[in-house]
Amino acid sequence: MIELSSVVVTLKLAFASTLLLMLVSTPLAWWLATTRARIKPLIEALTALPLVLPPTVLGFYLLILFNPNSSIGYFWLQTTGDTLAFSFAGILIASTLHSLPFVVQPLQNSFESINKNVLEAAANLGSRPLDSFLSVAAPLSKRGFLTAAVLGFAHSVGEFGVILMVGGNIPERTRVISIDIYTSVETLDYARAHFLSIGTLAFAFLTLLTLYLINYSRSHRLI
Amino acid sequence: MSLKKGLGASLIAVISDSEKTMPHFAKIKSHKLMILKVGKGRLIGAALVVFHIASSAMADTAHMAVAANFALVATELKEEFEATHDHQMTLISGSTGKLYAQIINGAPFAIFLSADQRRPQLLVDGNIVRSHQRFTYAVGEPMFCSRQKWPANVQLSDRLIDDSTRHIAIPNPEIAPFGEAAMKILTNLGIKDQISDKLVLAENVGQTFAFVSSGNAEMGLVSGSFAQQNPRLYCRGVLATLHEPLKQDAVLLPAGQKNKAALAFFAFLQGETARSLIANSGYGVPTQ
Repeated sequence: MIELSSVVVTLKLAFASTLLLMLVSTPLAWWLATTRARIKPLIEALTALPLVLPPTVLGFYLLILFNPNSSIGYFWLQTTGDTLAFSFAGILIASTLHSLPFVVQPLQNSFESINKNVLEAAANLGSRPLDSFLSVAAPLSKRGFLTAAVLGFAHSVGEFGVILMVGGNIPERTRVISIDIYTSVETLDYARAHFLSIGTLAFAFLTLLTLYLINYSRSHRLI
Repeated sequence: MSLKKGLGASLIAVISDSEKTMPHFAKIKSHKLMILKVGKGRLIGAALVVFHIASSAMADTAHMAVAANFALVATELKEEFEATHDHQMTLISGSTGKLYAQIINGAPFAIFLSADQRRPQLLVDGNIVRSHQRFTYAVGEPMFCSRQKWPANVQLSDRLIDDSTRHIAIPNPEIAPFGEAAMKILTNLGIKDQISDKLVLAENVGQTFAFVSSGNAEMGLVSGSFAQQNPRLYCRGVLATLHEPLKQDAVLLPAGQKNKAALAFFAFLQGETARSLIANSGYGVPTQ
């Protein structure tokens, strides 16, 4: 029987990251889509950084921030009793930061494509901002949410570099599929590498297919 | 047409041989004077051809794969070698297991400085390396390091099982011989099961050092050369009876058989200069 703990950790990480990403990204993307503030480009650039930065840059800084001698690392250790490096919480934070643009950008695009007149009509009818977001904007952005969630989930499954740097390769805690494959190749266990890689390949293909089906249905009004 | 073709081929040859280093300037100069008369259009191509001819007889470059635990010393050896020889070495460091996997998949390394004897032996058994082109260049010394003070009266095993040690970083035993040694030490200390929850597996000795140096792991096992590297770390050696001697073998790979830089470095590594440098860097040196 093939040991599958890395698959479990990966799925746990992907679901948790997606949840966290949606919670953080929705208000952020809504703000970016509606604001006229001058710092908007600054926030947009900061959010998009993980798209261009090598994961090692993020990994390096996280390793420095996570250590118990730094203020963040110390605070975390005092409140939770566990360190951030080499823990599930640590790779969750790393993965969330790294996947942020993959969730914020489709959400922002989706919010921006909502007809402004509809929102103004809601406001004129006395709807408060939160209310008009929940009952007007959110339902209109259904596909945006779906695309963002799928991309966030898929990107978390594919996370590698940052986790290699801050995870510590601990079975059942921080050893995800990508790290497992990497170690299997290094130890010349090609059977295991093949097994995990084929599974990941199939998963990635199905994810992208889902995504394109969503977009296809958008133009053909299936959803 | 044929001239053009010839120049093109030479240019490609020059590019593919770009690792060859700059030859003596005087030599190029004399050739340059001759081709100045050829014509402006062909000057650059012709100069490159001459440059190529002049350089091929001179310095060589060789790639050397180095077990991460020895990377710091290998860099010093490379500098010393390049200062006294006309050749250049390029170092690629990683865990012994990773480098071995790359070698048997055709990585273009000329020399392999392993952290064990097992992988070099496998290369000999697989007829990739000739048995006489293998020797022990160093005996590794595993050391436990920490950023926190380590009073002399606190035993290693007490320190490792203490609650203040939340994480113990070791190189992954499957790919790094220092990691294998670490597991052996923990087993022989009789605390392996007690501390198994604290173990953090690093890619190699280098990453282990980074985990300890950055303070993320309270304890970690590194090689002597890394232990000397950071004066802020408190390091302690391990009783030799707790593990097998970490004999580290070097081999000359097929890509190095005809590479002058590789052959020269392989000889240099067995010489007195290299041996004393290794001995001063936290390693044992086997008697010849």
